[in-house]
Amino acid sequence: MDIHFGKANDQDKLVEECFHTYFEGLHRYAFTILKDNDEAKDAVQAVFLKLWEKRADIDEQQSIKSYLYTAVYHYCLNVRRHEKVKDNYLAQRPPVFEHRNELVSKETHRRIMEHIDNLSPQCRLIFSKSRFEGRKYAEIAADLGLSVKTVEVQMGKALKILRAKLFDIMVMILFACLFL
Amino acid sequence: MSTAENQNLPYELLGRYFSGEATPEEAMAVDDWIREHRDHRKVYDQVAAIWDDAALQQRYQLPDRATALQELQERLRPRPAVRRMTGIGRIAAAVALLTGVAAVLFFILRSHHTRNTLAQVSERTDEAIRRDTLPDRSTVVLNSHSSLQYASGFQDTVRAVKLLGEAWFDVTSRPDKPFIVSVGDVKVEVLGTSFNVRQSDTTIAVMVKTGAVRMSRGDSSIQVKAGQEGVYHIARKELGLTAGAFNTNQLGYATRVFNFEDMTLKEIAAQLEKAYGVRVVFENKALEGCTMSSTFENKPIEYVFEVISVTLNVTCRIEKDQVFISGVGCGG
Repeated sequence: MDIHFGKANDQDKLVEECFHTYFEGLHRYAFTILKDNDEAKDAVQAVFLKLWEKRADIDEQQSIKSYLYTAVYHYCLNVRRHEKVKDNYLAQRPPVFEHRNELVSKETHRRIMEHIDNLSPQCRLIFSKSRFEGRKYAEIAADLGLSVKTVEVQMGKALKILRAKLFDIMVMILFACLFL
Repeated sequence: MSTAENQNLPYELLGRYFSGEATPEEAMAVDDWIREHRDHRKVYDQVAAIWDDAALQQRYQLPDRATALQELQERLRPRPAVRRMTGIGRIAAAVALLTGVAAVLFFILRSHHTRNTLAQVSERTDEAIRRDTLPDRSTVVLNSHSSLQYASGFQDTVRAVKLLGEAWFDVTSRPDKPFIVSVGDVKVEVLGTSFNVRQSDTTIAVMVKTGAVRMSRGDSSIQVKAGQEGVYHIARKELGLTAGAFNTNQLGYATRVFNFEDMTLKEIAAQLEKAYGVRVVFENKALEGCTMSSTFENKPIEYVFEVISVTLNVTCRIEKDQVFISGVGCGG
């Protein structure tokens, strides 16, 4: 059945190796865009299907990597565009994974919200628009009359502060003890 | 981690990444950065946890890579093309079909012939639990002091396994090939789902996490659905459903999903020891009685103990497969 047997066999293995090497990174990346684990998995598999079809032309490792990330990126953007069209018809998308809510740690959530409330007003507003409303950086910037760079800086600041508050508490206590 | 290192962390890049703004190049940069150093992975996990936990919506979960590859390979298998055929084509197709039937018959007969000689695979655990993938890519987590037996390759018309003790099964869906667990007098039949089977001296209990299973003993049977627990009383020879939902923590050894509610650190440690294959050592015995509430959903062990340290104001030190808990206490 398979016409290029000798070479194809090596290429098959190469595709499988790429799958093992890049699956996690690609899936995580797809999730950041799609916000859905299953859709992200579908995206990665669709991209690998395409890679499989092109396997005879594959030559180098480095180019495969950027090919895969770029293909996932475009595939996800297409899915999102498609969803927007659907949303216009459905008016309101039903919340898909509501039954998982009970699994989210309410205590952790409460602690994080507390720290978000303590961010500076601009920082908090930008973080909330990105995290809770899923707005794009460009939209947030336009809304608030800021540059995209400022949004970027504030988002970085928010993450840095939250991580420090939530995870470095132990370190600070240790330091405090040392100097007492 | 030192403060100097903290200042150089790419928070803006991570912000773009988690917000779904990252270009392919930036996503690659994030992944390269994660791989660069163990500490980077840790920072990444922490920021990801904050990002995930901030909103009550779907969290990131890495799918099982082996299953994903299997699914991909199934899609890669060439499908016969549907085409309109001419006269010669039809004859050729008929010949091909006959050859095919003959080949299938040959293999069926041959496999019948060899079935009895097929090797049985046996697994047995002592103290440590064991995670394994079955020939059909279903996963099984065998709890301590249990054993599992099945025909290697699952070539039979059903996927039959024999269990002694307790195990968690996450069964791949194969509607044409039911998965059947025999445990004591009871048979648990599924098409594709995840569930736990526990055999004790007096009962055989089946807790179903997703899908549904059929539990049968002789002629009688019951259906057990997601969230339910079916119990067989060995002495009374009776099948029935337990009222209410079962405690998710009972499956924690396999799923690493825990919902601790006002539990003592000693009880929590006992459950985590099983799930993560570690030993927890209390350097200050008084800490065993500290209580806390928290939920963990298949989190890295470092994350779990970090949350415990912060919540209870104790110090958790992970050294290989031992975790040392110390500190003055949670009372003050």
